Amino acid sequence: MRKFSVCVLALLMGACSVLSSCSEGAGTENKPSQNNAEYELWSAPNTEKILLEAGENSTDYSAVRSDAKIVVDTAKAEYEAAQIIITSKTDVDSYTVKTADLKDADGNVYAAENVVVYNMMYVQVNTIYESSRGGTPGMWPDGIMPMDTAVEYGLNKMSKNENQTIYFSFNTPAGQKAGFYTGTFKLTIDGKVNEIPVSVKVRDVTVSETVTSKSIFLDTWQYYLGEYDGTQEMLDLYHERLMEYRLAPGYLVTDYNYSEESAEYYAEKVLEFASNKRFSNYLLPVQTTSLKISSETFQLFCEKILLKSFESGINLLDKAIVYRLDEPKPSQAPYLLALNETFETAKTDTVNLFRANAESYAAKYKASYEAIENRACESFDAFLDAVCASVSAMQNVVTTKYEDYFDPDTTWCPLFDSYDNPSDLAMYEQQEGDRWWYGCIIPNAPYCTYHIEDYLLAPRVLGWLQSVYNVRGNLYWGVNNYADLQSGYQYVDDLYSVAARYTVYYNGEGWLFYPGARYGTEPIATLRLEAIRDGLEEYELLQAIKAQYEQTAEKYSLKVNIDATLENITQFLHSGAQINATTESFATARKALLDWAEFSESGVTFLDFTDDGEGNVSYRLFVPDGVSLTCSLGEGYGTVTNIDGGKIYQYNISLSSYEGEKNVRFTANDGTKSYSMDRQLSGKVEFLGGEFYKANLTSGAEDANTLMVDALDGSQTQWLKLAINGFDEYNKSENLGYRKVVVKGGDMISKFTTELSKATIKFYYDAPAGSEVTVSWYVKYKGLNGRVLVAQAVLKGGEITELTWNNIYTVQNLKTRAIEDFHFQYKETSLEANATAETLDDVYVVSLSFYGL
Amino acid sequence: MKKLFSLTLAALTAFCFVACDKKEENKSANVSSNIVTYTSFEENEGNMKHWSQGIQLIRVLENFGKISLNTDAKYVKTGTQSLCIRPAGGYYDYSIPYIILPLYSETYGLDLRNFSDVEKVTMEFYNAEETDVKVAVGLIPTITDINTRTRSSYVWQTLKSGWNSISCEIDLAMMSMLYDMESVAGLYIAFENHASLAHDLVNAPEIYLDDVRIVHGDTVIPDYMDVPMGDMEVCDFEENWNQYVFNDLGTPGSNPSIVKAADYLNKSTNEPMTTMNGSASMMRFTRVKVDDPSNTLCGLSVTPDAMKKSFFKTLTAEDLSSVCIAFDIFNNNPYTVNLELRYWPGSSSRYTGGVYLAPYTWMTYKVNLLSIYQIDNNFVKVGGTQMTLCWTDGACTSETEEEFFLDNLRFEWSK
Repeated sequence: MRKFSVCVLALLMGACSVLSSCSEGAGTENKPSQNNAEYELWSAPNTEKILLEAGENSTDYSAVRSDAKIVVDTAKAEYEAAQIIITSKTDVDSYTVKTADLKDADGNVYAAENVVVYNMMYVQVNTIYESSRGGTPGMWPDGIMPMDTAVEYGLNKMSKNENQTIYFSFNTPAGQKAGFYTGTFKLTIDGKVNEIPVSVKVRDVTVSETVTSKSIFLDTWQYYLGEYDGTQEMLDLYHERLMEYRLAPGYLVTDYNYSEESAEYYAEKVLEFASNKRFSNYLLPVQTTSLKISSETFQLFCEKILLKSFESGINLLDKAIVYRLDEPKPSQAPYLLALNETFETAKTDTVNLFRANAESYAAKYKASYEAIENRACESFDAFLDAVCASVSAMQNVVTTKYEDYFDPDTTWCPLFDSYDNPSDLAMYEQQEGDRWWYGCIIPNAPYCTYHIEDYLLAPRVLGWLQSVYNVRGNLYWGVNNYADLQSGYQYVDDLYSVAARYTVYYNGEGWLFYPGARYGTEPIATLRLEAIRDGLEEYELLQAIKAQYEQTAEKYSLKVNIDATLENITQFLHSGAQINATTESFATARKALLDWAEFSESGVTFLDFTDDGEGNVSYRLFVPDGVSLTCSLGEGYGTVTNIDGGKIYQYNISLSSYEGEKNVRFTANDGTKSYSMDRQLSGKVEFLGGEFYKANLTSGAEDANTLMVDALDGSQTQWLKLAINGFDEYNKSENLGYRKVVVKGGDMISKFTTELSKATIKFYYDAPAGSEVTVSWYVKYKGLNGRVLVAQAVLKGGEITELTWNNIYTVQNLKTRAIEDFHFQYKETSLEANATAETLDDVYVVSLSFYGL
Repeated sequence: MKKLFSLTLAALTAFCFVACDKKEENKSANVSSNIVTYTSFEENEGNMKHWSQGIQLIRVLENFGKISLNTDAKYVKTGTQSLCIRPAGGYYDYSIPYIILPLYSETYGLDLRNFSDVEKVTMEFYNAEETDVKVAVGLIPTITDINTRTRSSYVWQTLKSGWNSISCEIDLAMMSMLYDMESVAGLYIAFENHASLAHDLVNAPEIYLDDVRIVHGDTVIPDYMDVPMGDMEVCDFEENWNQYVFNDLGTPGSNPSIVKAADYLNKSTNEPMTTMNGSASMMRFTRVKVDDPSNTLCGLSVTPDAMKKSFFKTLTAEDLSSVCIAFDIFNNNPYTVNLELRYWPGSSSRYTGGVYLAPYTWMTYKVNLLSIYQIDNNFVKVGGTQMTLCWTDGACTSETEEEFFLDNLRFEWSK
């Protein structure tokens, strides 16, 4: 039975709802769940997947179940969903939904037309590929069919012992007045009307309608097999559907070559989509021979698009991306080099062409361009400069992680998990232009996947991680692969019932839509797409806050470490690039995000957040003149410093002794309006020294040389000086190039339970600056083969470094299995893989800290 | 080339497509016990309103165009629904648009693959255009995957405006020589290319299909019937069964079909074509421009069964150095073209021999079998499978299709 640790959330939601209706005065009285002999009605957070099966031996949803009501907390210009579940005790012949306008206390209306009701579709999952998420085979929710269509086709009925989700999507207009709206929807089941209380809190923040993230979600697969229609019109429909979900397609046309006629047509297509604010980017076709790009046809396509840019006043080349080489093998390194070199040549040739033709362009297009009201640049010359800059900056995305043997000028697009490799991450941070990443079957959960049995939160939190890691682009190989890749692509008789269409394991791999043809409708979206869009909307909110903080920093000459605040707010969503959010932790983080977006309007800026890895945390804020700030911590925690234009507030908390509320509330008031934001603290912290670590060592460290020594930083403590053995025989034979320390049993392992938020081990590497040792923390669970990597860090010479395993309480394996051992693997960057290493005796364990919930 | 077949045999045709105006009187789903309705687009599957198993299983090729269910009574032969077909085809990725009607589905318990006693397949077409539209109907003997299949050659028939009954009569005697008639994967319905730059349906004719029926006969053809080939001949394209010897590779172009020489012009002289030996028929095929010729293998494959049942069956390893495979070929284009004969045994090694075809000239191409044997010594045993006539390097650069004629595929003793 699947268990959920969201009891607190259920209580929280109920409490919030009651609180809202009381405090804001316009709420609808909560009614008990409408249960009877035929069915039960209930609700669950929109981050949960509720399987079709009900009755005995089905999944237990008690932890996420609450009364049948709809509670939505949303920004403007944002989609946010809610779900009501009907659990049938007998067969249900029909159910229908009627929405209604919602109103706030002042009579403002949230129109019913902003709510789209969907009937959940279910697909049989036979094999659980993402086993770390704890799901079971069964009928999983996936497609969301407009309720009207479901009614038209007679799909609005149920058999006994089923859970049928009714999915409500609230698309709040940008112009909606902020406020608290309530009302009632009616769910009629076999003639009996059930009233569903609805409340929508519209925040006074707006999600950017312009999509600033980038993506390549290829949609030119076998859509014709599902839609029975291979025309450009159908492909356009998929493009548009993707853009509804803030995603960009790949190539815009289904049939092209490198002729002038084809280039002209492609440019027309680019222009056609450019008016859509959600059209973030597109793929530019490049003709290659042995992966050398033809400069001639590159220039042809670019110039055709340039001319459309002149006509429209939009820099259409700013959205062009090249993606020609997929997952190159090491042997293709010379080809990648040639691809990059010829790409640069083609771009240079194109800019030269544009410069050479500048006068003729001006003669023909300048007057008409400068007559365009909403043109990108004021002058024609500036526009041409901007276009040339766009061509020069155009990226050639290559789906590979960083490898030494590939051209370092590559625009890397690694798998998500490559961002957990500290040395790879350092390379991506140095890359010019936008950063990209992707997933394709792998990596498995807890990294993001789009697999049906993965958490719905995974693709949603990915949007947050893009902000955390400053990754702008996400690539996915197929959204409408309506075939089954077994030995070659095979036909699928019923695309609505086969979940695994990329071999028998990968449920949902290669497709994010269901064809609409069967039901005479547009392509049918999935919960997975909804989650992707939710995450990308939240990405936009985060990016908007970042932009605002940059302005504040510049205006007041402040040093702002927004990454630290972002990391703190998202701490319970992920551990590195691994996504281990729970419905509860996500609800907290989302509320914090919406609060933060509103709070930022006050001008109060979180300058920094620090955690020294020993449970001593601090918040540092800038408060501009004319704004007041209060903090729920009260006296004794804060200091205030005056600076030009405002004040700096600093709050320090020691979590090893702190006994107050876990939520720290900051309230700002600019004289006209009050803004509040909660920051969540970890639980109590247990701080232990290196001796504790020593007592639990099992092997890998030589007792004679592993000993407690005085701290090298002059502090009045002792550190554990490790003496880590050279490679063992296995290591040598496999050329793995690392040594390991094993911790097996003992007090240390027993501390790792689902009551733990995170654990941090501090290391010191006593080596010259520039020296590096990568330490990787692996866990072996009883009954499972192999070890799971939970944390990785690069120890730098002369520095103290933290190795942190985050969100331990969310780990499914910990809920059902005991830990057998830990392996800490040490790998020196400078050491050859097959070297005969001396004992590594420069690494010290400084301390261990265990953070409670 | 000497004529190998009697008049009686010549009268046997693999498919005979008869377009007529006569309408069937009995419109029920199953007219008689030996007539199986593949689909009349009426069957409601469970609660799926407007959707039938008949349309759901239809496989549309990438550049086909569009099919959809029609409920306009004007275009319905029986019942209330029919299939609207809008064949387009590829513009750059030039292709003949066709759809496949599979004869097997494990999901839906459909199994009509056994054609060992099938006399004919009948279909009702409505041509909503004012002009004639060509259609070809045939068999898909095998489907390997969505991109790989075997397909019998196109034999074009004309759809006049309004209703047309198309009956494709199957000559089991001929078909069974080349295909496993107990396991036919599907039927195809092909149209000429009506593509547009915008890849829309602006040039696509509006056609409706109803009542696809398979008519079984009383006679079951024996499992195996020897191919009536001459001593050294594979085929001379004078017989209808010869159309199954060559298949296209599923990539753009080729479209092999048997034609009467007199129906085509020598583009140099504008006079009717003549074959090399004065016979009436030959095989026509085409070559079209593709986006990436270095990555696109286009051409014709020789049906393995045809090779196996030819002179090959008596060939010994000792004979190889003395035997050539040969054919006559005419390049009906104003420039020289390089074609290859490629034997590809499925491993990395392969035999490739090129031939330069002078414009507007019949030439004879020969390759000694020993050359192939040296690459794959399993060649004799497997009977020359995977033999293709293809073009990769220096592929078509013309914006219009190139035309070729091929005749008299045979073996010859080396002099």
